[in-house]
Amino acid sequence: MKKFIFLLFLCGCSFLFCSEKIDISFEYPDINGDFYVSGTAFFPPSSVFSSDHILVMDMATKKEVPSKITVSEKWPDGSILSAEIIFPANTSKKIHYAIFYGNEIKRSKIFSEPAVLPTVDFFTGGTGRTAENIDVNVGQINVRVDKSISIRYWWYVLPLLVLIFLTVYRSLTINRRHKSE
Amino acid sequence: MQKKFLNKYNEIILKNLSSKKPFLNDEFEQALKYRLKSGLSSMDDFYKAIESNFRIEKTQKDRYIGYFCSIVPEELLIACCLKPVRLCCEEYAWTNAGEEILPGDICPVIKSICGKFYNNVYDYLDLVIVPGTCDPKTKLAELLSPVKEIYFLDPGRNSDYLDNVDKWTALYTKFFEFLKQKFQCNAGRKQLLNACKLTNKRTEIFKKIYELRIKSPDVINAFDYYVMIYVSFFMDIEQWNNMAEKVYDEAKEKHSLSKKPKILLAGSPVIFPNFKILDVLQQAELEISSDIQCTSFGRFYNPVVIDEDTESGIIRALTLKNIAGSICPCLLNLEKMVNLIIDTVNQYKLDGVVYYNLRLCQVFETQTTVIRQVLKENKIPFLSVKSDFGKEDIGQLKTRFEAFREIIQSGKE
Amino acid sequence: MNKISISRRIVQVICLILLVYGGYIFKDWKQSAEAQKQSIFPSLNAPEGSISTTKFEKGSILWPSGATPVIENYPPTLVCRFNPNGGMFKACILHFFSENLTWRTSIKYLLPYITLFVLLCFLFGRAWCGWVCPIGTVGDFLTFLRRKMNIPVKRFPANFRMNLSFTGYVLMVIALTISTLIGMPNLARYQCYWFLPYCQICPARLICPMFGLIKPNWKDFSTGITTTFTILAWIVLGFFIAAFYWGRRVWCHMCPVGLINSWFNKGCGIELHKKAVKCIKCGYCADVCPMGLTKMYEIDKDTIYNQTGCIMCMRCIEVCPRKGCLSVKFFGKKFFLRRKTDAEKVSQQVQ
Repeated sequence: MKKFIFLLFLCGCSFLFCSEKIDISFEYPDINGDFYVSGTAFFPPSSVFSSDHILVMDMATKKEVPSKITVSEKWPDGSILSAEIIFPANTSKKIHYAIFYGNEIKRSKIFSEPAVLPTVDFFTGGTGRTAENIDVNVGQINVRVDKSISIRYWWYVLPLLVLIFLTVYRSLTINRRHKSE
Repeated sequence: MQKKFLNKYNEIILKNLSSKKPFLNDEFEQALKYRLKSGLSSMDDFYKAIESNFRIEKTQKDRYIGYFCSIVPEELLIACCLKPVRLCCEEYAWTNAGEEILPGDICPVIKSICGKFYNNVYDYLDLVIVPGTCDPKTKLAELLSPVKEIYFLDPGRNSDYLDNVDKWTALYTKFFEFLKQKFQCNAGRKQLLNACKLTNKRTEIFKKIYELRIKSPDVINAFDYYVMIYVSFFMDIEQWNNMAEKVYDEAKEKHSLSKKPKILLAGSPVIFPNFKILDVLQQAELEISSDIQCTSFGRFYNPVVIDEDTESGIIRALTLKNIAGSICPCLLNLEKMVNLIIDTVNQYKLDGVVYYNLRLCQVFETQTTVIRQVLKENKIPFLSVKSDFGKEDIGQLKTRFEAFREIIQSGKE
Repeated sequence: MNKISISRRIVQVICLILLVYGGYIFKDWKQSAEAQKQSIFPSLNAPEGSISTTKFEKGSILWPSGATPVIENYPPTLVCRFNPNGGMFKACILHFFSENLTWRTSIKYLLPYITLFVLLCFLFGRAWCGWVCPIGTVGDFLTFLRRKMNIPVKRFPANFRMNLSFTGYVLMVIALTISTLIGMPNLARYQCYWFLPYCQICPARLICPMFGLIKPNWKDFSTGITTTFTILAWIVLGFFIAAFYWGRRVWCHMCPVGLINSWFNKGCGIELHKKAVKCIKCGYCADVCPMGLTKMYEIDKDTIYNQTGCIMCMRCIEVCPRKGCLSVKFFGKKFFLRRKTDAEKVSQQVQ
């Protein structure tokens, strides 16, 4: 069950070109726990040239939150115009988030445990998959899609054990099975 | 090099023989009265063959080899283009003649054989093969060596296939080499295969006759059956096959009319002209519908199965047919005999078993108690009879058989 | 030759043609094999960094003489990896275990193959050895040649045959151990020499390519290890030819695939019955057995006489002269090839 929740992203002062901070606000959903928030942020021209200089910070703990940033449009001089950002948030309503950007901002490398999301897969009689997991590197967030089809092959154990039991049983009762005519 | 028994003393024995000829009573003529009882016209050929057996015209190239017992492989003799003649005989007149060599309580069959040999009945034989089965027969190798050349074949007393098959194969191979060397013939794989085909054909015809007699024992009556067996002792095998096939073709068209109880006859062999037991059984209204005896069933019933068709493979298959599959009580075959009796009686729903002992034959007599007890457990009526060649006890036997018939018929109701 | 022998020879020849030449006969099916691959049988490929036979060059021992097989499965007989043009099936069961132990495939992908193998063995026991195995057919042809040349058969005592089985087990265990060891990350560098150790010495590797007139890789003297394997393969091939020529199916006591099949013999669906009261102890059944077994002669009571080592050729049932003594049943029901009950078969037994 994908827990991507798309919310309206009310950009506060995203067009204030002098500040290097963008405040984020959104409506918290009616669920409990973690959820992903996604939206698009716009940057002034010549302000940031690579996604390594953009980060999302939790204003309550002043700690960086892992995020996936995909550059969508660029200004004519190569700086980023808009980027799609996805980051995990929590339903506790006391947390505020902000985006910081600039040349002195440095995003950290991957620092989070991959979040294991159960997936539903479908198949059309195509090739079987031998890979148990697919590691999809999305930058700071590693999303591991668990594709192990555990129940599909393990049911063979049942007929296997039945056959082995029958073989052993029949070989031990070989004398009793002869019926004289 | 073939050893000669009694080398130094042959002349002494021959010198001391009396020159009077024995008195031959009219056993053969009397026995031919059975010809009139036979309901089949094709049996005439067999009866004629018995008459003509007395006059064997031996040509220059014919070689006649005498042998005893089913242990001796006929196929090796046929492959070397020799004519095998089986010499087991039960003629009362010759028993008296044989008393000169073997006085006392010795098996009457051996006595009659000795009588015949020492009166030059078997002059036309080139070689006699003596197997080491029972004690008196083993000693025949020495007793007959003054008058004939002997080859001694010793299979031992153990009939287990696994322990002895190599020994038997070596025995037969040596015998085959001896035959090829003595008679200067080059017999190989092809001749052996042809000989085996002939004996297998004989087995097939015999099985058909045997099973026909079980279902309807009076279409080929017991006298005809034993006459056919006797003729196969000396007749050429292909001729016998053809004649027997004609008898079968004629007999299978007939229907059985007899409602008498069916009997399995086991024990010592019944050889023409000693048909005393068959006469008495017929007078007591019992039908012999099958038999387990070494001259008939034990000799003809097993086929040769050839899997390896190399020369040594064929000889090995022959040992399995003749020695491992034999029912002679001289080897350790008691369990096999009991199994055969029980299986035949149960499968074909026969009514009783008569076990015929020749007097003074010890090996058959030692088996009687075990067979009696096992058959009693299996609720099969059993009667054991001991008799001789003489005619004195016919009345006694008839009484016993009639009592046996009463037991069977009361058991049925 | 009786009915069972004739039908067995026909089945053997048909299976030889289908299994060995299947790559040529059914080659049109191969292109669609990819699309036809069922999801119940996952495809097993070498993982990154591991070796598979496709990486060997022509001239080295394990060069597979053919392309891909028609059906990627592992039946319980000796269908070899080295059949010309790939053959009908992928390989024998020992190859399956060796390869997957080296690749350390997860067990759940092997379960469908193992279940099918166990099912086929449970139904027919070691009848695969007697009726289907192409190497057995080649060997029976050598026996036929020997009989034509009038050379007597050599029979081996029970001790010798047990030693052969022991040797077969030892070879199998060593081969599987080596395959497991070279799958470990530290020892992976030995994979190019020690991959599929039993396949390198198996005589089928040298015999099967010759059916397609492809030259098998007789020798590879490049390094010490390949030289050892080459010489071992020659010794085993020599023993194979000698065993089939002078004996009958002596090799089958040692063949590892046959040894695995023989575990299922006593409990399998094909049952051989003996009725002891009809036995006259003539010894023909033990005499004609190509594996030299004697239990059917020795037992004295009514039982089922399945033995490990029996290849279900049913010669013993054919040659028994007493009708009804030996019989064959399939899970308790009579077989359709029932032995006839009249005496006419007797004269057909001599050819």
